[in-house]
Amino acid sequence: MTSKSRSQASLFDGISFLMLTMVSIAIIFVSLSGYGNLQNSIIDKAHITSYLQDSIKAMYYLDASTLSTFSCRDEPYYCNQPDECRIDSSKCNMGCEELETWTGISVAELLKRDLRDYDGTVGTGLDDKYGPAPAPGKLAARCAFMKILEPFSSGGYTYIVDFKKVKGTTNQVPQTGKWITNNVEVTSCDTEMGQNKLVVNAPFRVFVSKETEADNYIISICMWSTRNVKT
Amino acid sequence: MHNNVILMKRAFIGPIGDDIPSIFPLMAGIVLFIATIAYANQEFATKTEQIKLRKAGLDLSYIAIENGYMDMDNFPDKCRELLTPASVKNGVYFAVMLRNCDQLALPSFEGTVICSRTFETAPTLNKAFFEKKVLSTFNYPVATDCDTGLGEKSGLGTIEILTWYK
Repeated sequence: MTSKSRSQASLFDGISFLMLTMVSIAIIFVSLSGYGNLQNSIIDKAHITSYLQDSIKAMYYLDASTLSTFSCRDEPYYCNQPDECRIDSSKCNMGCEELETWTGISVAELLKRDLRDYDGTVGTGLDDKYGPAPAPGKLAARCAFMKILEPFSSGGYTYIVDFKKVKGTTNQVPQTGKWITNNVEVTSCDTEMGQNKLVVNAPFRVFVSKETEADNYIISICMWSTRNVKT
Repeated sequence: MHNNVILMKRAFIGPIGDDIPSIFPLMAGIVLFIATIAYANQEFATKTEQIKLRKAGLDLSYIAIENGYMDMDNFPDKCRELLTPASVKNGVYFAVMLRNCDQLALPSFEGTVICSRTFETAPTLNKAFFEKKVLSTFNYPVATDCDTGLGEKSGLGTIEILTWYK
C-alpha cells in the first residue's frame, strides 16, 4: 500500500466518523424539538378545562343585571337578527340590556327558574319549570358565556353550552330559538366531533318545590378549535 | 522483492503519522458531538424548568379559583394559608392579579395585585416588573364585587395568576 492510499483510507475513516456524528446530532435535535410539546399540550388542555369549570362556577355568583352592558360587538352570530346585522351594523342587537332589571339574582338561578327561551311558547324548547312567567335565563347565559369565552372565540374556538336531562336515560333537552354558542350551525355537544374537543359537564339540579324531588340536569360546555392547529 | 520492501518502507510514516489526515475530521466530530450534548442538556433543563413553572402556575390557579367567586373578605387568609405555602412548595414566586368589571379591558399585567410572594423586598408589581421575568400566565373568569353605581353587585371579572422563578 502506498502512502497516498493509506492517507486516503484514514481520511475515509475520519469522514465516516464525522458522518456518524452528524446522524447522532440530528437524532438529538429531533428528540429535543419534540421534548415538552406533549407536556405543554396537556397543561394547555388542563387550563382550558379548568377555565370552563370555573365559568360554570362563576354562573352561580354573577348578578344577571351586571351583564346588561354587554353587546354582540357587531358579530352576527351572537345577534338576534344575524342577517340584518350583516347588512346594517346598527341592527346588531343581542338583547343583553333586557337584563338590567334582573338585580339580585344570579345567572344560574335565572337559568333554573326558566330554562325555556325568554319569548318561546310554553312547553317547547327548554322546560319552563315555574310556569309561564318569563325569566331570561338563556339570554343571561348567552350574554355571560359570550363575554367569558371571548378570548377563545377570538382564538378560533367554537363553543356550545348544552343541557341534558337525567331521568332514567340521559337525553338532550330540546331547544328552540337561539343557542348558547358562537356558531349558528352547532346544535349539540354530542354531534360535534371537532379536533381536540373538550367537554366539561356539571350537575345542574332544579328544585321545583320542597315536596317534589329535584330534577337532575347536566350542563355541558363543549369547545373545540375550528382552526387546524394543535392545542 | 527488494523493490517491494523499499516501497512498503516508503509508505510507512509511523503509527500516528499514518492517521494524521483522519485526525481533523475525527476532532471536528468529537467537538461537534460534545458541543451538541452540552447544548441539548441545557435546552432540556430549560424546557423542564418551564414546564415545572407552568405546572406550579396551574397548582396555584386551582387554589385561587376554588369557588368561582373572589371573596375579598376571606381571600387574604387564603393567600396566607394556601397560596403562599403552595408557591414555596413549588419553588416559585407568584402574583394574583384581579380585574373587576371596570378593568376587564385592561392590558396584560395591569390590575390589582391581591396576593403575591416575591424574591425582592416590597417591589412595585407593575408591567415593568413583570416584563423582566420569565413568566407563566393563566387567566380565569371570576365573579367579583363591582361598584355599578346602584350599589355593589357581583359582576364579571378576571384573575391572572403569574408565576416566575427569582
